[in-house]
Amino acid sequence: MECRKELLERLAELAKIALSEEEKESICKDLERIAGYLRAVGEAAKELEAEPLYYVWDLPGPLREPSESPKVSIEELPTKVKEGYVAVPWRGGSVE
Amino acid sequence: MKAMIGLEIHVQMTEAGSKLFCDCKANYRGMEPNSNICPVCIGLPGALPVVNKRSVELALAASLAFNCHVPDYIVFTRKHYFYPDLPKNYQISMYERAGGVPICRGGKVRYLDIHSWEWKECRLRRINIEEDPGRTIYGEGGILRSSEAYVDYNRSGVPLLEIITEPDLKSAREARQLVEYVLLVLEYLGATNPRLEGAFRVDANVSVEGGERVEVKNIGSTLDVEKAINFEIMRQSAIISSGGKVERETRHWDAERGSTRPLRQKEQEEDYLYFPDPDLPAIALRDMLPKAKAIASSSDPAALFEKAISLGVQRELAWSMVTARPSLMLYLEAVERGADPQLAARIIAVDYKGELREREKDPHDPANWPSADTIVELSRLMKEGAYTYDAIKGIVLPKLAENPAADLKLLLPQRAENLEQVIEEVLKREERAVKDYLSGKAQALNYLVGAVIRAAGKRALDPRAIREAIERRLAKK
Amino acid sequence: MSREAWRVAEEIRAGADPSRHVEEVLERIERWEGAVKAFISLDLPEALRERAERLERKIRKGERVGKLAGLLVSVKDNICTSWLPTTAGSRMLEGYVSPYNATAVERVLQEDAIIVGKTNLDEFAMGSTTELSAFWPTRNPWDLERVPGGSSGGSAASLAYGGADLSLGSDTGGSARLPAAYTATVGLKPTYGLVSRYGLIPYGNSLEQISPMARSVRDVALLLEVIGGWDPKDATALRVERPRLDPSPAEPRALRLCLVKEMVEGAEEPIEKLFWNTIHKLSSEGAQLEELSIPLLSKALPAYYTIAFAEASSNLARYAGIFYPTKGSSGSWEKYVGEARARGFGREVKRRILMGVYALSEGFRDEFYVAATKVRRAIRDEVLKVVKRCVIAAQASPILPPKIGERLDDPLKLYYMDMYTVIANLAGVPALVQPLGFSQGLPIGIQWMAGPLEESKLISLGLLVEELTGIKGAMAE
Repeated sequence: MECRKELLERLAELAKIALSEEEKESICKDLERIAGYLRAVGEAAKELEAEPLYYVWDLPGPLREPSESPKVSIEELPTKVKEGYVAVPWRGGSVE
Repeated sequence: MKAMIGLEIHVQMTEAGSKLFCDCKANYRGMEPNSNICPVCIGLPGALPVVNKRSVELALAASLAFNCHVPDYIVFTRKHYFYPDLPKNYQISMYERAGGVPICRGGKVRYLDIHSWEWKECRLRRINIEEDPGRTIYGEGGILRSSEAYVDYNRSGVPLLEIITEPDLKSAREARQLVEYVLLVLEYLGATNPRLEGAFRVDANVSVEGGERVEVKNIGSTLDVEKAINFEIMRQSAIISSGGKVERETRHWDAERGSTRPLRQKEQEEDYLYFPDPDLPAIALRDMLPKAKAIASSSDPAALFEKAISLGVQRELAWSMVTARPSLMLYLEAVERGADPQLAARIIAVDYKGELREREKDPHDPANWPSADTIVELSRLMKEGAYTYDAIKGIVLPKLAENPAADLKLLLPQRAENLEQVIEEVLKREERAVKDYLSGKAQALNYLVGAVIRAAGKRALDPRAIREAIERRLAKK
Repeated sequence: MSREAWRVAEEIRAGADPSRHVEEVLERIERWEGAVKAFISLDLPEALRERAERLERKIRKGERVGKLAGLLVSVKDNICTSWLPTTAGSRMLEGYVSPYNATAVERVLQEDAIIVGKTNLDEFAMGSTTELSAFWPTRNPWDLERVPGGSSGGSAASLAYGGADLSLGSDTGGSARLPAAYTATVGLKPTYGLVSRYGLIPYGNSLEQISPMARSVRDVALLLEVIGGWDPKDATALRVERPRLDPSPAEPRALRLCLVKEMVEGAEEPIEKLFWNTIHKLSSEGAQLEELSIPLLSKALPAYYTIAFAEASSNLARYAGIFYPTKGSSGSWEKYVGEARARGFGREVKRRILMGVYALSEGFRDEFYVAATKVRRAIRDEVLKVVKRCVIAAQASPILPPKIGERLDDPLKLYYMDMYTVIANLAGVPALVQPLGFSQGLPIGIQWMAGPLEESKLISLGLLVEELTGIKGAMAE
């Protein structure tokens, strides 16, 4: 099956995964094969008169009354903290 | 040029108690950064959301208040985009397609144009319940150049109503009035306190004849709604009348500069990869309807406004009370307990409110208003002729504004009978001042008034009444 | 040490020394772990000994002692624990310690179990062999050249060599049952919603359950009794009591077994042979058999994978280098996130995320994701119809445990291994896999599926089959 690189690049952009050129090559081919296989559901669904099923029991879910539950301390997490704020790279250059 | 304006109003349900999907607080003001967070609202692996009942009740009440078509079930969807303030990199929101079911589709807001005193209508496209992201602040260079961004997740997960209108609004002023009215309704429902910092944000879609639609983001106050839209209408009109083209784009409102600037061109529709959140089964609304209906019908500012008017209150005064909920509630209660509707309105909406303003006390805080019994009593005293309105206004109201819980008896000026005696004594004692006054020295009268007040001890007195009594007494001489 | 775990717990409750049992298990670990590598992290021997001593003091004082007293439980490393790292088998989370315990872990601890360590898995549970762990492949104790199945391969292997009495696995499309079949252990995928997912790092939320694994049917039942039942922290958890499972074997004459063509045919010859032997034995004891076909089941595998990929792509969006150990190196947000995700995820995970994004994207959503959810409904309805009248007898795996490396190159070949197991996940029904015997020293399992919340049927049938096969509590030596 032919591999459409623009499609893969668009998907990688949406998924925010930086792929190397080599990876692009192989994943692109894999993806075409997998998509080709999964396409069977599109065909099958056309012949069914079924509504989508998102939650297997189709039951209404519960609602929550107020209560207390444990908090998280930001210091416990492996993240960069500056004066209580979580510091994330934004428009900076290389940091390594 | 003719403009078409549609709004997306994001209002935090600051009064919902807890965040939308966890037990952290909905109102995070005054907290240390990142101290109002738990595994759920920062999206740690394995943590699961469970919907806060109060949020849904309030959103349902709002949907009813805005005449929405309300579905039997609501379904939350995941909306995906990567941003530092969005811990899961998807927002749990609602969407009208891809399996999602918003709480409101196709409503309308009747809002009051207080310039023409006409009720106007704006259609709603839908209302979504969603979680607020965290709050990002940028270092030097701002959003465009700062090398790092700093995120406080205290806000992450706070319940939001996203209210999306049809492009029915024709002017910036209408847009502002709509927003003000929507906020008022939500405040009456007990969903939000719109005066809290950051409690609401508005995005405006503005187009003028012959141009594409431009989205203006980041409008944080009702005044800015008007300013930003006016700026945009002018900007777009100028482009078109000079023969240019207005392209479809997203712009950012800079409140400090009072102008909009480009944020990004919308080359292609963004793809948010919507699908129903598999952690959240649909939520049935039926059991909640009676309660939501009760909230919506008992807290409709329009109905309460009409009620005040039907009591004979001038519409300006009635509106003034409506815009400060505790004042309207006080008024209605006082009248129900027998206060004169006119007198009570004048006290509450004009003079007491003026006293609060002078003291920079918040008229939206119920603690700054006296009890309904106090208003009833003041009304009775005036009706019976024991005091003039001016006496109450000049002496009682300022002191009451200082301390709304004060005992009325201690604030009331002494009756005239006692006063005659005191004045007699003072005039006898202060022979020089009397002489000065009679010889035309006007300031001597002030001295005498002061002397009477001192002689009367610490009792509350109406200086104007004393002045008049002295004048009358000395005129006889 | 081929006693069943429930017996060990009873002995300890009756006064046997829990420390002695800890030593027994530590010896097995010492002997096997170097070759098998079932664990990503093991608690320190001293810590386990201390737990045992604490339990012993508790027993001596006559305090209430839990149902799992002194049993050593291994926990799949995608289930959160607050004192041992939880990596989900990914570089992305290497060294990550969750600030909280999963509900299932809490419940196991409350019943006085001792958690021995965290077991290896395919990265984020995406795989069927445990070779796709970012750390190392786990080997099958019955044949060290072969895989233990996946993704709960570490859990299954730890049981098969005696490194644990019980194990918490997870099952999204067969992840607890396939490893059970490959290691002569027992795995039960509960009814969707019977066990809380709170604290299970999600892969395919709408499909998966934390699943009890053990060396005997009765032990699996014991663990399910502890972890099952409603949890307010999981909105998809069913409002049911903790299950009580009667440990008596089924009466063959009261049994009705359905043989669904699509779940019986297509397995390798030794598997087919053993399967039919067992069915015929049951039939000769009086069980009624019914053969039927559900042609739509040929679409179960693509429907399952489409839904799982879509949900996975969303669930894994949160790993962006902010809250988790693997970071990016660029100082620009977009690049940083792209790098962190490129570094942290393995190739299969990337493939699945990209395929999931594809399945959810505008223009493709209907033909992939939505179509799969429609097929899912039709399959669920068909399966529910069948399990109303019988227990489904099915293959567990189409192939014997493959050699390490054998199935790595072709993703479709890998997916094919789940062809019989994904059906229970799509339909939400409980399914049990238990050993039937061996072929050339390699374990072969069988799968039973019953109606929603009919775990007790599976347990009593499983106990009957244990009597027939004589295989119970088997351990590799």
